[in-house]
Amino acid sequence: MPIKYENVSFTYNAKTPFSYEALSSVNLEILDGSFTAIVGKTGCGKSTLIQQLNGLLVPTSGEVIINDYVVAKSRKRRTKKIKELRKLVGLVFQFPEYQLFEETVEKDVAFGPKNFGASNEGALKSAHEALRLVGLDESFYKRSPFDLSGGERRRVAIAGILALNPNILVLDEPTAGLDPRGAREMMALFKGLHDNGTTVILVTHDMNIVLEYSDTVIVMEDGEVREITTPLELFNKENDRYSLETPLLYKFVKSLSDKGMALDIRMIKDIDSLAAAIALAPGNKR
Amino acid sequence: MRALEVKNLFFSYDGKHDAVNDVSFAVERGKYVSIIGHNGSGKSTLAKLIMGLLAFKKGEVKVFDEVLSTASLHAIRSRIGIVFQNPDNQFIGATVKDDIAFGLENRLVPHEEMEDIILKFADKVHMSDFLESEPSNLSGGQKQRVAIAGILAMSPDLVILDEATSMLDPKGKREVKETLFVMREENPNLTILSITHDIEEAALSDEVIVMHQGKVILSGNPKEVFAQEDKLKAIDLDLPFIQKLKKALKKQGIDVDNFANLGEMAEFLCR
Amino acid sequence: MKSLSLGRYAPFNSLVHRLDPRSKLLILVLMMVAVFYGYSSQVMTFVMGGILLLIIFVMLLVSRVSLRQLFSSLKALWIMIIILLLINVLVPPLGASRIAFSVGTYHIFWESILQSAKIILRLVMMISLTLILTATTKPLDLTYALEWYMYPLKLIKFPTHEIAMTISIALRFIPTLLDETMRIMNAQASRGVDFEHGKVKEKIKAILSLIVPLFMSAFQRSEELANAMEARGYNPRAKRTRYRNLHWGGGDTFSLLLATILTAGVILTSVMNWNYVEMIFNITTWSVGL
Repeated sequence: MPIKYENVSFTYNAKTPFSYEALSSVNLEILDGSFTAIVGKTGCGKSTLIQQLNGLLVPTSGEVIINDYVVAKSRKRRTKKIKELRKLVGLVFQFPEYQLFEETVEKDVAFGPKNFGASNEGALKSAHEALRLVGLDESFYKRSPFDLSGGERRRVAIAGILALNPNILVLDEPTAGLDPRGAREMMALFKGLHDNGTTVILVTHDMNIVLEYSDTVIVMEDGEVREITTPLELFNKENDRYSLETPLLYKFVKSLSDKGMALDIRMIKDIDSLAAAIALAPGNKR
Repeated sequence: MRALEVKNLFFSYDGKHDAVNDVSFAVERGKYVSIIGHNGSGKSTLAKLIMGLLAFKKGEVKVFDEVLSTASLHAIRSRIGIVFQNPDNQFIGATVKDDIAFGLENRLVPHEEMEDIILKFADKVHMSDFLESEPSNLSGGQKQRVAIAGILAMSPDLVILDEATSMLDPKGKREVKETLFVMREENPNLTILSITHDIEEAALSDEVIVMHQGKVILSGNPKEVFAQEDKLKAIDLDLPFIQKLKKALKKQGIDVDNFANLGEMAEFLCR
Repeated sequence: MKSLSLGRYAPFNSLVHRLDPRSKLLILVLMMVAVFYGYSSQVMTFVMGGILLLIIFVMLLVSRVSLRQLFSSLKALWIMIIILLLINVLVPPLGASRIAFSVGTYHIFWESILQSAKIILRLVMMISLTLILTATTKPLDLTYALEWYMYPLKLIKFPTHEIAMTISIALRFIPTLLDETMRIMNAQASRGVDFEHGKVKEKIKAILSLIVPLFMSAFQRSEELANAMEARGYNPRAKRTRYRNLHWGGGDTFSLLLATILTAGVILTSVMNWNYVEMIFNITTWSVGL
């Protein structure tokens, strides 16, 4: 079942002098099993949007429907036990390593499952499995999370969410502050999960990641959804109006076509295909 | 004159494993040098050692020909300005003005001169509209610009950027990079040492130093360094876009090796 | 969570706002003393209380403090007020004899009611005075004032500067820490932590999951801050110049003088057992008698 936002609006601090409308009549669908990127400059409402997915925030008006759960303001419409939604939708915030607190890595990862009623043994089992997924072996189990490096701590934090076995994984800038290799490993992890059927929703500023991993892009601006499209279509248009950083690949393509080279844009998705397209362009410099 | 000379530097956090392992390099005055490498390669530790924030057990650090020691610490620090990674954890003042003033207070700048200096440098980083703003109301990029104003106000000869844009969104990154141009305009002799993950930034600098597991494994101008593909691949470092494109084009039979930047390359390809 | 409105600084430009924080602090202390003085006769207690209340009310007005702010501060303490009232009513003061009304066999004395009224009056005045101070003075300015008053402690090697610096940095970080608390709460809630319901054991775990990360991040922050401060040449023991200076003006001297006279008057009245009501009554009968 797709995730549906039906006419969702959200206002922070409603009815006070500080009220601020962060989302305005959002209507969208996110398909099961998709890898969706949500982009837009800071303040466009991305973070507010995703927090409706696990009930942390509840729409001021409108509804969000995830499988059988309804997230809505009215108690009549809202699913009882909305907390259970947090097992289905795993939400990982930016810099998640700041949430670690237990004495050992395995205890921290087991914390989530325990909160949902798992037994000690069951929770540890899920924890070990989740740690395996993020690439941390048994040697890490009994170590204190505070002794690990930043990248390792982030992986522990993500394992903490994966241990809940969510069908839908929502990530807010998961690669922020990581070095390129760390970022690549992290994205490979999410791709693996996606290949196994998890719906992945990714909020990011990194257009290279959007290009390489996602199949759908939702562009937001000023609390509204401006476009729902595919990465290629997005970057092949003028996207200066959204203040998005064009991936270098497309910047170069643009500079070439500005100088008069005729390129078949549809065949360009990475550097090799770009080189091939240049080679095929009339008057090439072979 | 060399802005910075590091000779056979060793440092260990835990006494067992060397975070900085026999590092030597030099930075000529007025150059823009990038240090790249994975997290844990020793880059940030190096920055702290140069600033004397960590004490090294072996080796020597010379800043503008002065040897770094307990006695020379204050004098050397007054010639270096460093911008750290976390915009919040280096913002000390209650407002933008107070934060810029902090450095001035430490260096005994007379009270009467402070206001003018603060206004001048806030303006240079385009933060004149935010003088009384509190840090909790500023974006990461704005806070980093205030940090830069703070160090520029002290007229440094060497600026160290310790992953200053790592935690910023693209807009913030752009703002800080533009501010760097301002820095160099202010002082063409300014030496900049940038510790970064941004491989494209490294490709544009005068010199690149590649660190891995506490050692310098490559150094030289970007062209030389990025030509060493095997070594870079061995430590899992990516090549800048221009290098990757050159390679791909070569495979197609197009030789663009001699072009230093994308602009020239595009010109050539479109002729 | 950025707006902690209870008692927070409100950026107006009233006469009180413009006063030097050092005078305001001293005036607050003096007036607190005046509020707490007692008198032998009940009548005088309420007359003096009334006079002080009037003065404080005028101060509130001049400081542009809204009555709504005052009421919300009082509302926050309603539990304490109820408890105070109950204690006073249930345990009548010594020598209470005049019964106001009775509930069955239980008597409620006038003395109890008056005592409670006296306490509430004092409470209102104390809170108003504090509110005036915090609403008209930026926390940082208060810190400077405290630092100035602590200056003589430097003679006994008390680290006044370091304490003032610590306080001002702590103040600067309050909004940042509040934001971080929210973020950690959201992150833990997303892992199933329920901060509202649950058994005691679960609640403790919930609080731990909030406090431990906050502390750990605070430690890391401190280290990074210390590095940044050192790198910018900070040395608490060395001499430093000052950007923000406090300016004591004529208005400060005048206000301080007024407060001193008021407090002196209160103390005198109490010590000398003056009874204004009798005095005025006597004067009027005396003048009528003419």
